[in-house]
Amino acid sequence: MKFTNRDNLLYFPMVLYLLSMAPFLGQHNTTTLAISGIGVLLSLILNHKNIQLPMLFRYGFVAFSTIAVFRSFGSLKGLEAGTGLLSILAVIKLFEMKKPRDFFIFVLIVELLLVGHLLSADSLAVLVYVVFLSVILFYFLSVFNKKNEFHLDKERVKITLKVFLYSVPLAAILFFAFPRLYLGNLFTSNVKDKGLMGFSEKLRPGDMAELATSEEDIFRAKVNGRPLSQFDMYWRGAVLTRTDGFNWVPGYIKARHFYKFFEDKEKFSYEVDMDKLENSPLFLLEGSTKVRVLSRGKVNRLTGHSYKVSPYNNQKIRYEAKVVETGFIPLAEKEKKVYLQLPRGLSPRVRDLARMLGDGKTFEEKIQSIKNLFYQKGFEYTLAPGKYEGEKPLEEFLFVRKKGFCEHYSSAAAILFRAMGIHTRVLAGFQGGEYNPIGNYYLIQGRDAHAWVELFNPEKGWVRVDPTSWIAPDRIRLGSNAFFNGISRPENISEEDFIAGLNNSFLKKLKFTVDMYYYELNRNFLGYDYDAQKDFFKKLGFEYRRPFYLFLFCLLLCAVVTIIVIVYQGRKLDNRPEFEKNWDLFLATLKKKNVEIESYMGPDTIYKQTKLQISCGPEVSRVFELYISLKYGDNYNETKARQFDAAVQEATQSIGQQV
Amino acid sequence: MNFIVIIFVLFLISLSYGHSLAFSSTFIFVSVVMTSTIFTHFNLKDVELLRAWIPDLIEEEKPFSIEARIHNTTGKKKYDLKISKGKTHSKDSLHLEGGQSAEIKLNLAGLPRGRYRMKSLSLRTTFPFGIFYSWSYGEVEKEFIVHPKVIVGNDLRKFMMGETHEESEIMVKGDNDFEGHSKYQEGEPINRINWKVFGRTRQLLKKEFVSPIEREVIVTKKMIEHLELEEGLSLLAGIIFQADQMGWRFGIDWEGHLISPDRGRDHLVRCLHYLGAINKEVVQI
Repeated sequence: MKFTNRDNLLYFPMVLYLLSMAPFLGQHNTTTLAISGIGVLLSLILNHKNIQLPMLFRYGFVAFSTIAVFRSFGSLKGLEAGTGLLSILAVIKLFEMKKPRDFFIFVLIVELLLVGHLLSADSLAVLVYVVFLSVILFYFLSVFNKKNEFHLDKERVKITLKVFLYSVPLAAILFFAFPRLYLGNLFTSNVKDKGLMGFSEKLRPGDMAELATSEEDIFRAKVNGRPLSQFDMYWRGAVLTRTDGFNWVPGYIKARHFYKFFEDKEKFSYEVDMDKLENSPLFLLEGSTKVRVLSRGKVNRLTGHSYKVSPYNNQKIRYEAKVVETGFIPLAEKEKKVYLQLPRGLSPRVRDLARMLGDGKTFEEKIQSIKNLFYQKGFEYTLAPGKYEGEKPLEEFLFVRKKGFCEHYSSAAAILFRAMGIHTRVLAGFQGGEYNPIGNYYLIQGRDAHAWVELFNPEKGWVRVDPTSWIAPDRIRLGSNAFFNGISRPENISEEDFIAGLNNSFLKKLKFTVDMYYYELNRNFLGYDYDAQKDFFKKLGFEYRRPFYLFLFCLLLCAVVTIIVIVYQGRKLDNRPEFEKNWDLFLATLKKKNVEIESYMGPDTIYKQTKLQISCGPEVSRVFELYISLKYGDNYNETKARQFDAAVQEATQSIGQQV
Repeated sequence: MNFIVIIFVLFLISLSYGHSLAFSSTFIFVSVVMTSTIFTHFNLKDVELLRAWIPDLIEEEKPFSIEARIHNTTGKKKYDLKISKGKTHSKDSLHLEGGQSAEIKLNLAGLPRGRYRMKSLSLRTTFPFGIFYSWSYGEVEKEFIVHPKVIVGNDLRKFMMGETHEESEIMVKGDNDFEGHSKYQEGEPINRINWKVFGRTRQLLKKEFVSPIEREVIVTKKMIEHLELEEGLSLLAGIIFQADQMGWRFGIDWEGHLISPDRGRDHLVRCLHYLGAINKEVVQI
């Protein structure tokens, strides 16, 4: 396709701009999107009407946009403000897209914009998209490099791909060997609470329904050690201690150890990679200690052996922990009060029920009495119980509707336990997870969201009680996947076999394989930090004390690769036309016969020199004649080239026979 | 330069974020840019400048074009080839198949009057992405002369050889080519009879005209003594140019150095070159 009309130049950048923005619209705020949208429309209209915007207007637009972005983000520093500003700058460049040089600048802006999007997304899949888009951008750079007309030709596609392909080894070396230095937060800002995963650190029964029906990936956990059962996998997120009689919030207890950890009795360790980029609690299994956050971020230790991380530098949270045997630590006096807190206005009917169920009973019997209540009194598990919006929601749940899911049962049970005098807290997090047998890790999705309670047994310490397991035991035993999909277990199959069977279909295996690659690539690629780099080179037998040595090593490798590419490219360039090679052979023959040939000599001079020094038959003259015609004539002719080759052979023989 | 700035910014972002995606995007960008420089270099390698043509008549301060023939000595296609002199590049670019040659034009800005030597031309390419450019020099080694600005519109009769000012005055009165009268012979065209003279003298006289091929003008230094040299030379170039246009013979007599009157393009070039070279040393460009 050939274009000579410069006006067409606008449409390609516009498409490229839309491609660089479309998948990332969610990363921009309304101001940025509105300004960008207006800009795109305006440039379309202006181009259609062939109107050139005055310089003053363009500067005005830049100033207006900068102020709008500043007002919108409160700063021009940071990723979100930066990408917002870049997206607007790219639009402004569309206004003046008249020369290839404008496109050149446009590409630079879009490249920076893409890097901004990439950092915001923190995903390897997005990197692939960015590289793909970069190939297209560079292809158009190549197309517009010719100033007078431009062709959309296949040849340049090949060349662009070739350049990208050749640059892979260099990029790989730089990636692995360039020291992972860290200068601190020059351009960065903290991640704002985006609520992407829908997990809340407060519990308002009913709120989790949306999350519990979603199949969005929340995190992946790789366990080193024995496989986990569904009952092992209670991922503790938020510890909630304060209630208003139905809803729960974290409350405040000075952070301290709640368990005695026997470090030498390690059960297993695990690593968790969060799938979404946001401030989040760490979801930890019971008995977790030696918690280490691998990504950059601020770690806050919260009550009840829980943590919250605010990521820096747009890194998704990654952490590791060990699960060990625990012993209990008695509750402090202040804590006892906290874990028995109930609202003053708690309904007498609820208090009566608690008294009725718990009076005169042991710790275990009290648990059993509430279990019996839920089990025998017509309670029902449903993710759509409707909202409890009356004045007394707990009463409504316990005595009237009796419908709900984990949040309702946990909240109600916890209040009843406290009313019975048991120190209780509510836990919000996830339960279970789908095991990926190919990648040997667990995938925890939105539908695994869960709430349960922990009771303080004066003899054993904190113990977990899950009221949902009383009312919907399959939700816990078989996992959310089978439970929510309505798959029931035949009686003659064990739970383990049943779960294994669920994962046996071809489609499931395919899904596991794809997910495994996604996870492993993300884990190893995104997790390649300074420590990982050091470990990597240690494994290769190159231990270094200072990053400077690694830097030198990296430079050396880059030089080697560059030389290889240069030699390879140079080798290919020796692929000259056959007649040129034969000409060199012919000259070599003449030199053997002591004809003085210098490098500056042209064919005419060489001919004269040859005639002076050896006897030249017509076959020799023919070689010169054909060579001049081939090299300096207007058209390269294959037939003539073949004639030349034959003439060279003949002349070489003839010269060779001369004494 | 722009790319260097962007790479620097990307490095700062990477070091600030310190995580894999920032580093990888920077390194991919750096690698592509570095690899493209290798491609740029090899795109020009083994491309030769075979010849260059410089026009023989180049007027002072007037843009002119030179042409060059470039040859791809390899078997591989070469893209976006240009020639340049200084900061001026050819407007078009060439693609050359393996073993192919082609001509390319370079428009140059006007030069002051004088003698010049063009030692070389640059071959240049920004292929594939226009990020960097690679260049090599092709030998031209040609001298050329920029002749004075041509100021036309002078009355050449003033400078005709052997004519006095008075004679010129007489010529202006009638036909420009009128020379005098001769006796009318029978059979000659009647319209050549000067009837006014007949009315006055009753003699049949016919008008005689000077044939253009007999007219000549020799420009001399004396003619422009009252003028500044460059202005004067422009005037003389104009006279020569006009003489050539009108088919006159023209020549130069400059301080004893004589270029005999003659006609034709080669002679015109010789004369204008002579004027162009007056008091000028060779300047290399």
